[in-house]
Amino acid sequence: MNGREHHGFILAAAIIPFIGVAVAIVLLWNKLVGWSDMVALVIMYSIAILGISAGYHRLLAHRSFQTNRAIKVFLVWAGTIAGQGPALIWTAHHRRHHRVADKPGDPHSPYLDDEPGWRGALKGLWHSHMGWLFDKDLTSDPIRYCPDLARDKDIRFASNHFVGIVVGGIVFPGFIGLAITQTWQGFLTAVLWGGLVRFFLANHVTYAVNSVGHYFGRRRFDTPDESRNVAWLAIPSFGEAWHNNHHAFPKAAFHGFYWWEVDLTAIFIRGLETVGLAREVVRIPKDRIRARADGLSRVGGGRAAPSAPPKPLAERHKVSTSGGVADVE
Amino acid sequence: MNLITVEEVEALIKREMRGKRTKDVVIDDTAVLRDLGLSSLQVAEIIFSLEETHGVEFDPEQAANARTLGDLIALGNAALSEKDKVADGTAR
Ligand SMILES: [Zn+2]
Ligand SMILES: [Zn+2]
Repeated sequence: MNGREHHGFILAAAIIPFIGVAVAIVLLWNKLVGWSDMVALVIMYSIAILGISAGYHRLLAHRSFQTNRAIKVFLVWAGTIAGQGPALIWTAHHRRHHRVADKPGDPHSPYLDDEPGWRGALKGLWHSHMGWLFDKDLTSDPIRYCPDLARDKDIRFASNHFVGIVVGGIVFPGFIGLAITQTWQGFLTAVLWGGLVRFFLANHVTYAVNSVGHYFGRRRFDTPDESRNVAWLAIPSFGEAWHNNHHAFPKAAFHGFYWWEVDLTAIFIRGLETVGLAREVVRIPKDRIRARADGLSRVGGGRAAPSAPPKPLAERHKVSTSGGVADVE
Repeated sequence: MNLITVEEVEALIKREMRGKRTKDVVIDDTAVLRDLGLSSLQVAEIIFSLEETHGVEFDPEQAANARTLGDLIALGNAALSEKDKVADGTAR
């Protein structure tokens, strides 16, 4: 995809699922919806969100666990289906987000600071939610931010076949509907619910982690950004909404730190580990979590605090995890 | 040693562009990567395919900063000759 095609895709990805939702509401009104549609919606929503959360985010961007090739390819394709961008671009933006969260250079911070008051706040929230996707000048070079991932042929393949995989993910639920109802009408309504409505819901949930998750919610840790834990988003986001936890310990495979912080992705990764399909699952000792949480009352944190590490992966020759520097990858 | 050539990279660029390349663009040593209309993803595909075919690793920081095609090829060939020296036992 070149620049213009990319912009066209972003527009289509914003508008078409929205129209799909409108059509779905009309059908709902006329009771033209079957349980096959709900099955297609739940299956496809789970695939897309898990692909983003366990695949793009925890496996690729942060390398918080290792797995075999089949599971890796499945998760990368599942994340691609979500339609939020090719794996290499998504992870490049995301690593950059962690490096300079809520500071100049962050691709999607709600703190633009270009207008005071509620208008500025709304503009910032919109920018961090979806607006940043439309910024033609915003690019995060995968060679610079994720050379480790770009060396992986499977990840490059999925990234290069992005549009085809996304379209496949919209058409595929149709076959779930066809299998259940044995009718072409069932095929079409399942494409609508499992394809377009799912696309809309899953993307807005992920985007809400970026917008709401840096604006409204509780802070447990003194991170040098405005990340928040957003309890009401925890279940739909499959655990991604424990975003202050995540910014405090980016490499942790589990974002919920206590039993009441429900994290469906953590359950999935733990399940993989139990059956021997996940290795090197990064866990944070409870005493480190407690010690870091105590720091909040002493120093406060927030976006005025200096962030670390200051440089992209490609510019750091020897990556160190010691010395109190958080290694986000 | 099997050096990276302009022709080889030209073939990779054409594959990436899938025939969409405008005819007036000349691909040679001095061609500016940005002006070829390649996306960052396409440049990554070219660099890491070269790594695979030649069994060499580009320095990602320098590769990201390469401006022209010549810069990129020089970078790859420098890494290749370094690798050769190590193989010969003549390095350091
Ligand atoms: Zn964040
Ligand atoms: Zn992250």
